[in-house]
Amino acid sequence: MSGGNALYHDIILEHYEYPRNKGLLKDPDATSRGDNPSCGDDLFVSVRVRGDKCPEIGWDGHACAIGEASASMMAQAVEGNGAGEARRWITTVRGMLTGKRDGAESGAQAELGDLEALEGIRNYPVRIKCALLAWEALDEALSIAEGKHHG
Amino acid sequence: MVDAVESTIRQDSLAPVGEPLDVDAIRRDFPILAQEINGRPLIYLDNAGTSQKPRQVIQALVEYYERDNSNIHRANHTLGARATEKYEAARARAAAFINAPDTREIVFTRNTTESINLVAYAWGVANVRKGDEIILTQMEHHSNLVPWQRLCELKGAHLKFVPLTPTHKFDVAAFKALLTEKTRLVAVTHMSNVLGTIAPIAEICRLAHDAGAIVVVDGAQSTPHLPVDVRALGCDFFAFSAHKMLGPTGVGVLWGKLDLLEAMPPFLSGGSMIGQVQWQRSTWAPVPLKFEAGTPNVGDVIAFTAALDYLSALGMKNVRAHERDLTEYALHVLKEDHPDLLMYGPPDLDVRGGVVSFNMAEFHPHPHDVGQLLDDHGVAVRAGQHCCGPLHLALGAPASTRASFYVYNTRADVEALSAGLTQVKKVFNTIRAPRSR
Repeated sequence: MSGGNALYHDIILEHYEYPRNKGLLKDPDATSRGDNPSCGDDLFVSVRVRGDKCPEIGWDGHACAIGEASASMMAQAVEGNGAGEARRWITTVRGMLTGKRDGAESGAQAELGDLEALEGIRNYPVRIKCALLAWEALDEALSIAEGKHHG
Repeated sequence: MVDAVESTIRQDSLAPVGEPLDVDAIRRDFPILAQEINGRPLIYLDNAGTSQKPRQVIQALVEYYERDNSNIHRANHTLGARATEKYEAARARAAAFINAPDTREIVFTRNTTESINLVAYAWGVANVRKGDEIILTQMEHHSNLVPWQRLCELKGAHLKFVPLTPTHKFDVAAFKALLTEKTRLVAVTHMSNVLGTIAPIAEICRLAHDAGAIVVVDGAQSTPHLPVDVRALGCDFFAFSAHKMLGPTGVGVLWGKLDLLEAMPPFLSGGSMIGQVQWQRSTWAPVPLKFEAGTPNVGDVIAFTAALDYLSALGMKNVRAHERDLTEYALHVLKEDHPDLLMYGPPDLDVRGGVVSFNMAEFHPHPHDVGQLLDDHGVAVRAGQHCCGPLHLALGAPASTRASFYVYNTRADVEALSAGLTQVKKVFNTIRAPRSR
């Protein structure tokens, strides 16, 4: 914990400073945008859903530390584990942040890992949308990409 | 420039001009300030968002609901008469505050946004034609931008924007170049809620009128902080909100020249705003009731009188001087303590109100993170685009952090802000080495 603020966990600050998978994929199946116009946050998430490392994820853009760290953790958690698993992560994180379901009890994943650091954001309602920005964009990108292959 | 600002100053204040504000006494009138946030004294620096309310205003609300509450302009019982009298007294008080020539020129709305929409829909729809041009500035709040976009869509008119000078002042030369015989209306903020820039309204009005255009002034930020005299400004419409100037939320004012208001069709229609109602058609009540459809926000309008009295007792010239001093101090202290800060707004304090917006170097950390961490230290600022998306595009900034001052702020508040920023930097520098990538 840094500076006494539950929001700015060391893990969040570390992901913000050293983001994983930052930079969009060269040949993505889909790219989606997540933006909070009133804050000036603007993130893009690109995915490829074929191949061994499915889904492959790249993200880019500009957001607050919470938004960018969440995007980085998201990429770390879901890349290469299959699109179905990525969907389960989206549900888990959404539930954890909106307080409908405790992340630790969701059962879908044995280990939250770094994502546990996002749990405290639940207590800062105005920041929840920052943390969800990348996840909502991933959800949309996966839907577009899957639609392409099925359609 | 100094002349343009000074010419708007009116000598109707009860307070001796040039007296420093007794901030300790003022602070005792604001119960909300006497609290701790996260274990620290509250330092409220989001006054451009909304101001706090003195107990005189809170008490006026209590008295109204405990003693006078009634609908107005129709009940013929004693409470109805009392409420109507106080509501109309508030109209006269608002007229005096901005030196309006006629009390009938004051229309009560919900907020500045509604006041501007009233002009856009009532005056704009009737008077703006296809191919006409409307001139705005790059520093308009969405409330003085989006209604004009909608009017342009409706009528096939076009928007043009006065750019900022390199020091974020209103660019008079660029404005002159944009004015043409097609210019129908100029809508401009008196004071920017992000930059603090004070526009030379009197000069803008002279130029616009020479070109045959009318001028709508967004006074949401100026009226709480500067002496405002609509006659000296020379504008055609002037809009402001009570909640940014010690008054309750839910009350806006539109001042308009009587002949314009009288010639305009209504905006909203229904009860109160009518003359004769028949099955197929109706006639309208005289100005200003023509523009006040339905039961208005009686209690809050009446309590707004107490806010105007409070400000007049301080003296608006003294309010301006106090905030000018705080702004000067803030610009100095922030530059001294944080030389890498990106600061917006004119350095020239003659054309700068009490708003200080900034970014940390290279926009890191993001204003949201800055605002969040300042809140840990009890310092309340605003972070984001402040309803000025296009302005932030023009500034090349995704967002900004904004501190804005009012009568109860002190130099110690500025120091707390600066110390808070040092803490923000500390949090973002205590990052351990990268782990596995």
